[in-house]
Amino acid sequence: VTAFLHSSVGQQLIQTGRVVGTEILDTGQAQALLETVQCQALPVSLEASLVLQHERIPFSSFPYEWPPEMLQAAGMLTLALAQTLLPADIGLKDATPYNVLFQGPQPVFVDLLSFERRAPSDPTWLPYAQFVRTFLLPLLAHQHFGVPLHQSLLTRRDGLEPEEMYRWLTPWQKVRPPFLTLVSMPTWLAARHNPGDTTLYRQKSLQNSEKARFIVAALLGRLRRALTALTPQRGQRSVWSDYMASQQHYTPEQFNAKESFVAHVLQDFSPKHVLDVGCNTGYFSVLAAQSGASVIAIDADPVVVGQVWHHAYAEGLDIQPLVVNLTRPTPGVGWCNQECASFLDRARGRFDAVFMLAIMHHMLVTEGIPLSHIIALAADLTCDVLVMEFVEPHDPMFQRLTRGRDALYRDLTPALFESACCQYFDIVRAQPLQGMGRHMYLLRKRKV
Amino acid sequence: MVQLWLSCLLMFLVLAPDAHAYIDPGSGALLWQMAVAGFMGVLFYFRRFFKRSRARKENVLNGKKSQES
Repeated sequence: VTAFLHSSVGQQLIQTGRVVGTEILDTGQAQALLETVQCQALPVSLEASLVLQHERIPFSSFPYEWPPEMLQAAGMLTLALAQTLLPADIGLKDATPYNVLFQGPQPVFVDLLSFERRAPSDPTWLPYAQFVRTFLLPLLAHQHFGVPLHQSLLTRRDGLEPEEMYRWLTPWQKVRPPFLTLVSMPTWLAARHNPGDTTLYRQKSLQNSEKARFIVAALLGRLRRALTALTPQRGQRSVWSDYMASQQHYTPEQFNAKESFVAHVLQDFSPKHVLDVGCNTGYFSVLAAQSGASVIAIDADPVVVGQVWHHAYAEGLDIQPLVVNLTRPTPGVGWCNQECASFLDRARGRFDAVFMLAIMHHMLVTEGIPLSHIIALAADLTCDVLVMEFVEPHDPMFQRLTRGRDALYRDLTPALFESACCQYFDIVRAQPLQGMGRHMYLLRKRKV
Repeated sequence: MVQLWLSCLLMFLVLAPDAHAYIDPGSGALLWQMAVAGFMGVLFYFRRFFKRSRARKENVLNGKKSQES
């Protein structure tokens, strides 16, 4: 760690924001920090040889909540660091997406303990297998077999094993790239290797350091090409990807009224942290980010979330899009379900504005969540403002979801919605979207 | 050559023993990495050889040019 922090290349990586901002604390500063309430529970003593303070990443997310585009960006960052640090003889102990967090759409490497001095004569990149398991194989499974990333990564800390994917392959796939080198060869070689023989893991050393560096650089280049080949296709389509483009259910006037309602809220309250639930292609997330808010945009569809990430990354907007379905939010994961906090534990009370635009009827009908529970969760998530688009049961989009079960929702009226809200919120503004069964609401959480 | 390569692969595939017991994760990838490293090592010497011969050629050409001028 110290070798990295004291190197000029390390400082440059920190200054450019690719590695998390880090400060070495002197004894006085360390003592002051350790006396704070947050640090009292930490198993750190003043005898610690090094105390570091990091820049805070506002909202942490985990690889199983990322669209493929974000996993690829995290992988590219990992390889870029390994390549940049190679001439300085600094290496990475591990290469896992858990070493990366996102600040807006930008990946930031946060695991400083991963940096270590590497022997210049070592021709191997030890985290190679882990990089393949946690970045390449989940992306490969997604690209070729349509396996969503959360399926590969939620219950597997260390990604997909080549042996596991090998079983999915046809004989022809087994002998053609990229499966041959990433899946089949490692599987065949592992099956032939004597598990009792641990000499394989001993550090290798070449007499010629220049040759060793050339080999590692070439290997990292190969991994970069493999990762580039797994770039998710732009312009992919899903059930929801054309929702904003088609907009068949809004007239231009109705959509303008909705947009202006949201714009006024942003202008009046200037929220710093916004959660956009069911963000779709991120139209309103962009509006919020342009007004100066830091936005977490969630949607269950990885295709639209990937599009939002591309847009935010290209335009430098402070939006972190995540694949999260609020009705089945990410659970706590890992040892005792506490290693990675659940989405709700990370999100509760974090936002001064929550947008739930035309999402409530999906939660009510498709997921069967009672209205009062939806409002209670919204009150849990926001500290101040809730912007809600209420859709009446006679709206064509609502009816598409009910599929003839209209009778179940006949009592769902704006009056019922308002009375459900009143338990937690004051209604500041309500505006019907003329000519359709939709209403915009600005609600403020009642201070207890 | 391609046929020979494909036949070797096929033989390897057919003769690969089934692993019924514990497989240490990463050993296959590490072995494959070492095989690739061996190939890269050979490439390193080729590259160095070509670099040196090109440098020698350029030196000879530069020498000739300076003699002419």
